Amino acid sequence: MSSCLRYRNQTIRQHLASHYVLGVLSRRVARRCEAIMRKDAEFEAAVYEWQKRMNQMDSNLTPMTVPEEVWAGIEAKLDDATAPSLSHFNPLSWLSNLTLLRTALAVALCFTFFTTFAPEKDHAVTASYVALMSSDADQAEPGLVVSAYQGANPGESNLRFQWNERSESIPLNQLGVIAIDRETGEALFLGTITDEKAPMFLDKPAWLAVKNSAELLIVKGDTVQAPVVFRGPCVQLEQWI
Amino acid sequence: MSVNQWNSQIEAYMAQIQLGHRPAFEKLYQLTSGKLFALVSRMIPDRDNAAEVLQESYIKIWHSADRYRADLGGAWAWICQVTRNAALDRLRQHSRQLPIEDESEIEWLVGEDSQIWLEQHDLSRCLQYVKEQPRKAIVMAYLHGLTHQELVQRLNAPLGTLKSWIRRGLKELNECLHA
Repeated sequence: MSSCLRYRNQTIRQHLASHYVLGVLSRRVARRCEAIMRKDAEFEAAVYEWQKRMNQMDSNLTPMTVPEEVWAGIEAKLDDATAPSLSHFNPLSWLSNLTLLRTALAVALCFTFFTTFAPEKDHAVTASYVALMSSDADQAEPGLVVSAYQGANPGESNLRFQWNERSESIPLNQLGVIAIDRETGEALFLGTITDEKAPMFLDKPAWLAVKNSAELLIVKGDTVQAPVVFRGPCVQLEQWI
Repeated sequence: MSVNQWNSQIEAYMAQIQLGHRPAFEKLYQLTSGKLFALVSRMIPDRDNAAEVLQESYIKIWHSADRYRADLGGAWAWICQVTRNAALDRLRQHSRQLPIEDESEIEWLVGEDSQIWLEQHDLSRCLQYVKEQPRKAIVMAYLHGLTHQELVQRLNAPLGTLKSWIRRGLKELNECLHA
């Protein structure tokens, strides 16, 4: 049996996964295990299973004071890795940025023209529900606002996502939205964000779930068990007449 | 904060870190660095070396966050594994003096009246089925990152016997946890 097929044997797989997590393998074999993990989902699952078991021995760790320079060093290394380098300066990309700037200016002028001279509507469309979303309870101010607009017809109601300009934004595409029912506490998956800049349209049950929700959640995944990225209480707004 | 809340918070931060959110990474650091420093210091008692390894670990956590699989296991266990691996790499690169002068923690952890065994029922119950010497070898390897050779010196057993203890101990543990 070749060495790459050998680890598919259940006994060998368990042996390797447990010894990898215990930390008694040589560096070479440990690196090999990591390479196998990236290719073999079952082996990766076995490693996670052993991590979960052995990690119980870390549950009683008493926190120690960390030297301040550790975080400073981490920040410096991450900033170094992301800082743009002068060697990457490309005059063509600078020119293309100039073209983009001109296009943006033209769009802005058109927008100003139409908003100035277009006939005013009777009243502005306002959101029916709003949720101020935070990533954790200690956050000074919400990072994201989710507004729910009721459409005139079924399927036209929608959610819109806007970032707090003072917060750092992250890509929302492919994240899921969940409503927590006000009375039962039940979580209902509303859908996946496919384009955060565009309205996310809701069918009738999803709209009713928003109407009855105590809280909205944005999760990383497409199930109600997925890890929560943002959450916030959902409030109903009085309409402007 | 309860253990469950603490774990959920780490899961949430990891989900945001996977999307490249730096503030979440800083919060994860604030929440976990004290415990991770204790974990590293258990393996590398020298404070400066331990601090360097901790720094490397967080940089690895940031850069390899997309490899974390929330569907397979908890974020805290994964973070501890990344950190232990960084500490093990450091230990294997530099020869070290055996760090364990005070074995009371190990004696306490392998003893039958250890509190951890009350809190972590599954592992506790199953480790009690493993004989004392293999149990001690497993706990010492995990907590202090000892190699087979270091365990040989520590436990005064031939290398073959020591490897067989660990292999059999882990197998018995696996069978018990699956039972």
